[in-house]
Amino acid sequence: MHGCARFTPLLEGYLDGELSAEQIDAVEEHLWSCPRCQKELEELCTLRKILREAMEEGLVNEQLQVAWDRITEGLTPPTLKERIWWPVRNLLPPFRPLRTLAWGLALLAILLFIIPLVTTAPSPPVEVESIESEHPVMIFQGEEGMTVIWLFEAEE
Amino acid sequence: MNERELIERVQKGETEAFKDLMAPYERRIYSLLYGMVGDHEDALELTQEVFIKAYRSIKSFRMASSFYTWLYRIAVNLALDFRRHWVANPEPKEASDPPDEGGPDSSLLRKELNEQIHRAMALLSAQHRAIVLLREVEGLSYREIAEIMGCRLGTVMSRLHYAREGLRRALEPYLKGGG
Repeated sequence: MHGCARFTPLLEGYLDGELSAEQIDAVEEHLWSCPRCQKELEELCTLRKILREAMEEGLVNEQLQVAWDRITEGLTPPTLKERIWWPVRNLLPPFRPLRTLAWGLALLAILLFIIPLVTTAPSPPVEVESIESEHPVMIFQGEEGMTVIWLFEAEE
Repeated sequence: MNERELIERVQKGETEAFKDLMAPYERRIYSLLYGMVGDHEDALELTQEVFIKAYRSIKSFRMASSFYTWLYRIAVNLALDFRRHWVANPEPKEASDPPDEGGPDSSLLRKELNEQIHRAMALLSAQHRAIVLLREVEGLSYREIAEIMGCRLGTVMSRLHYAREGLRRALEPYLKGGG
């Protein structure tokens, strides 16, 4: 229709209420006589309507109530214990009772096996006497008896 | 009690006043976020985040600007962050369906249309999506949108036009029928 090129760019502003009073008058006068721009405007209105309906659907009050419960939790400042414990807790692996018990028993078994070995290991022999002579003699006292070492030089 | 008084009470630490302050916005913020992320569960979680962030930073709010543009700015920024994170770490999941309302036929038709709308929205960039939602769903002025998005008025107008054209192309059969 006559003058559409001038008015089409203004249709969105008209729909959005962003035109001056003079522009509104001009657009309305054109719309009166232009089915093409009427259709264009109608499509823009329909787009707005279906977008609004699509975005506003689906939210039920129960969901909002649950959301508010969580929001309220989020608003409460954490206690001193929570402030100290939570960061530590986040660093630790999650607590699993059965796995923890299994690891505990395994550790206990290892300790029960190692402790007797450590406690019953023979202590090294202690030198109790050495005799300086042409052929030095060293006497060691161990738990299993006495050891005498007599050193001889090999004859050339 | 008016909004200004409620804001002052919340700024003094009265948590109870916060719910009254946010009551007019909870559905609107949710709708905006739903349009931005396209999933009910994510939109609900983001709504919670927006409200908690608003509460924690409300002391920095000065009465010079309007409360809702301040609140929408928080919502849009969180949604943009969410989109950026989602693009970097996509987690494929099925969109959570809203509960059915109305008869089976109307419900099916509405569901089909809504799916088309969300597909069409997904073709837009996050910035274009935010602008078209702030205008078409929230009814904000170009100036308010420019303030929220931190861009110029001309940018708002051109992005809005581009987004509308994209949606009109993608939803042509539904628009020709008159919705």
